[in-house]
Amino acid sequence: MGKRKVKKQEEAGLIITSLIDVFVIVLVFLLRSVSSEGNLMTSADNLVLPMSQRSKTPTEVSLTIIGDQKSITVDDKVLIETAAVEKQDSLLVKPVLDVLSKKREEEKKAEVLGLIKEATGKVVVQFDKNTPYNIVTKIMATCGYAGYNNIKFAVSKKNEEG
Amino acid sequence: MKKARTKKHKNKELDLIPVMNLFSILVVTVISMAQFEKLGVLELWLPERSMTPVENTPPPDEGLLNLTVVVTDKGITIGAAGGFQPTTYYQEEVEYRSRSDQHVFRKVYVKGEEVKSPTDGKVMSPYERETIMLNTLAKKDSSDPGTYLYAVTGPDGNGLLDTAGNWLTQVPAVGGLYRVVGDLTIKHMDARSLPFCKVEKLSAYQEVARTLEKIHTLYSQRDPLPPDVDDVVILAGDEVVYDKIIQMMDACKSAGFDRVALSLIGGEV
Repeated sequence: MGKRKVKKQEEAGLIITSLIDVFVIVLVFLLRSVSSEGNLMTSADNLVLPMSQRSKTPTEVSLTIIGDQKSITVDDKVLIETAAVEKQDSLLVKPVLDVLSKKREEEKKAEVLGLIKEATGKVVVQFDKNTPYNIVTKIMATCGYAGYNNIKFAVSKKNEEG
Repeated sequence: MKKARTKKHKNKELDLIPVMNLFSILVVTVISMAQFEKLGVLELWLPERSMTPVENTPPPDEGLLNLTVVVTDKGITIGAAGGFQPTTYYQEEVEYRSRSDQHVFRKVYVKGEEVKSPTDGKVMSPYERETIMLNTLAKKDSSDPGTYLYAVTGPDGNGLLDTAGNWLTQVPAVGGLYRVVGDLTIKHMDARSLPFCKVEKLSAYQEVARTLEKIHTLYSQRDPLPPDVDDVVILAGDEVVYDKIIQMMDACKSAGFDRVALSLIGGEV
């Protein structure tokens, strides 16, 4: 019997170079969309914000009111159904007014105690782009009545480079 | 003589596995930090409310411009202390995206009409409207059905004006002069932008922005300068969609009116 020939098997190496190329491209693409300032505002899940070309970048964290198809939310607390706001005759939305007045008072107290520099009464409103103006005006009137006179609308930036 | 020993040089590849590990971690970290939708804020200007009773309020200042943009479901009218501009009539075209099957279709808006998806026949809710386009109509009066106006749009979707401030109706050749509303600098068409220019139905927002820009330029040259030269009030009805208000605010801001206030027809906010 002849001796069996044992072939030396060479180790099969994975070619990772092309994979690395892919990763570099993905990384560069992702780095472009990372903002160095961080997120001062996040958009709510259930709504589509209107697009705007003339918007400014938010510079500080403010109280946020969200109005989507179903409900009106202030600082993550659902307060009233959107349909109920649309139907009511009064310009002031009672549950929202109560919460906002309380928050405004707290803000003023914090200013007296020196915890914040100035109680500016800033509020950012996020509405779905298909919300009727009737609801928008009621929420704005409520904000103004509660002392939040500095109202800003959250929008989605259009044609933003970089 | 001894033979010179020759060592076999094997091709040694660089060990890239640690680099891969590093990249994997980096990609995951960056994905978690990435912001795919850039958010911004549109500032609203609220006129100060005086605490004096109505009887004691001073008579209105005659030097004020009192510019108002009235948005209704058929047209946009600009009014000022001197009177009203002719109404910019529009036809509303809505692009719907069905939530059930993501089907996208366009429909001309007719007040009170039920819109059904052409694929599954489901009635579309107002929240399924993806884009609302206001196509400018040339009309003699409100009873005239009117004809569409067309203009060249640039790569960013903005209408292009000629040097005289009229809408371009033909895509300019390379080197041709144009400008956009909100920017008085005349630009030359370059070969890179040219393929993205196309003739489209003129948006009513663009047309109103062009008129507002003319008004702003005119009033900025007045002596003395009106105190409310940068102010405009948008007046809209109850049923107007929020998106229209934001687009109108954008148009006012692009025309140079930085202080935009909102008001309700028949009320005040």
